[in-house]
Amino acid sequence: MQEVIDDNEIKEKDATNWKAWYWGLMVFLAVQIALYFYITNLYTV
Amino acid sequence: MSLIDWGVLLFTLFAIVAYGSWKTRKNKNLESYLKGNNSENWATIGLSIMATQASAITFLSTPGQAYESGMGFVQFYFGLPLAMILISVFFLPIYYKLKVYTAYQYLEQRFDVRVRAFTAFLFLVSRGLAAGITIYAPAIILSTLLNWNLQLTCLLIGGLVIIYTVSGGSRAVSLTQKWQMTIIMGGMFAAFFYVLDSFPETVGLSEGIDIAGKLGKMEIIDTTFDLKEKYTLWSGLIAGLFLFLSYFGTDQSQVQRYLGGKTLKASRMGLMFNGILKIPMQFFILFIGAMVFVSFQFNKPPIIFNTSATNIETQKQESLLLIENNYNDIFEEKKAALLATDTDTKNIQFLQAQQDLLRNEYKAEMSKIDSGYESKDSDYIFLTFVLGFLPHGLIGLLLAVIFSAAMSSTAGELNALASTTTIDFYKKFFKDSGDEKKDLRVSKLLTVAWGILAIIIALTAGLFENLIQLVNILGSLFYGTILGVFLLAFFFKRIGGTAAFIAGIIGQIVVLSCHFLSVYGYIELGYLLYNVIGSGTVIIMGVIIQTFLKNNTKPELVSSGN
Repeated sequence: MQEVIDDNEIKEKDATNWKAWYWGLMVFLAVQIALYFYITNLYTV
Repeated sequence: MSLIDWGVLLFTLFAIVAYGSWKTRKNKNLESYLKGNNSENWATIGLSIMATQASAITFLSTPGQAYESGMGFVQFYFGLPLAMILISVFFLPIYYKLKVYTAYQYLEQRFDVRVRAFTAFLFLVSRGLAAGITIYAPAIILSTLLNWNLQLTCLLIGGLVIIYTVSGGSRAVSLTQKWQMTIIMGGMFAAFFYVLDSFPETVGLSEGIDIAGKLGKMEIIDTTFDLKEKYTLWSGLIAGLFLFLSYFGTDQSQVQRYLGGKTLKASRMGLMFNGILKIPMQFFILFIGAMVFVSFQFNKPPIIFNTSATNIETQKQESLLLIENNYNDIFEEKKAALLATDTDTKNIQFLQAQQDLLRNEYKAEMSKIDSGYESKDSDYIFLTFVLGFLPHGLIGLLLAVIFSAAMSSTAGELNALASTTTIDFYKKFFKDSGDEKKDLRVSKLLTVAWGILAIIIALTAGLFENLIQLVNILGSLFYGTILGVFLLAFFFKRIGGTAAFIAGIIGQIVVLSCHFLSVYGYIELGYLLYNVIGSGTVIIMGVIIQTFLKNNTKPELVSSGN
């Protein structure tokens, strides 16, 4: 039989604010794209 | 190559193999062999995920791509951080909850055994072929430039990988990948400083960027919405999201990396690590290529970079010599213009265009003389620079970088192929003895078998002209369908096994049809779009078929056998 872990057991062990991580990652992506836009516009031949 | 280079290369390779084998010598059961006893921390997982994705061709080909076409390729990775978030939210908790060994096990729990076997089979086909090419692609470049024996190079890469992957399993793969990635990044940073060092005294980093910009290498973002264009902002964000969702969320070679995490948190952190670092890393590798381009504005480059790949005696062909002389004259004129205090941008751009034309003319002439000549030489650019400009010792380190990258991705692939064959086919359909030691032996034997098959594919790859091209798009040919099935499983609770299975087959037929229509010129499609088409078709067909079927749904999570 395959073992199944309880949802609550998973949540209890992890108090990390994952929402903040996800938003942070999306903002970081947006900042990088904006920077690449800036470089592209600076050097458009 | 000097003795020091050989010393550095061989020491690095054998130290990694010895480390991987020694640290994991106590593997005694299938769980420790396939999941490393869930002992990896987030940093090991993150580096391991990156190392599995980055093959040798990434480090050989990517700088060459920036040299030829600029830095637009970085857009390809824009969907990756978004995919990391979705996998972290939706995929990972389910895999952890069910304590699966392979991603496809979940599909049996959710649908039925047919869907599990179908997706696992698609994975084995695509990844099995790709493993051979992961070995062959760098081997052909190394053997051409360094005059090494191709067969021996393939055997060396494949043989070393088999040793530690068989002995240490998943944990050996993750542990060695951590060090391989460290060597790779260290080597690339060293190469970057030597690229800058090869500039003339009056040219620094900012002047280098300026020159690359004026010559069109710093155009990174393309906002046009063109289905034929492979790399645009939109294809990166949308098609890239589907590709990476499929690759990281459903390809066992990646799933196995983060399933070895100590906790769900460690696995999530590993994914975040990849989401944060992947785009800057690719940008950096492309930037090295753009700076190599700048270096070759002042240090005369060969007109083509793969002369050694052909038997044509170029110095005896008058037509080739004429083009080469013109090319060299323009190089000198452009170099003088770039070093002048008052730079005329239009003139430099004009001279660069002339030089590009002559390079293409030269390649066309080469193809006329030798019909078998491969005119795409961008994969040879970076290594040509390394061999010409880096000091002894560092050349050995950079070659160790290429080998490490080839070995790390091949190890991840073999490990995943063996796990999928053991768990999804051998234990499921042939024999589940319940004897841990026997299962472990079978898993090790399967790793050896997949390793030998990968070496055989690598040794025969040269016989098939378009194999590399085929393998480049192979992932996209199957990923869309596999992702579609997983998306049905996660988000469409009413869809049952029969609908998912038929929809999967239809999705695969549609993707293959699109590919062949595209190959024969009836439609024009970038291969990244196959991922969107495949998963879209599976989802739409799944919903339609389910409406015609009744009482076929299965409860979402059912505890069953392996």
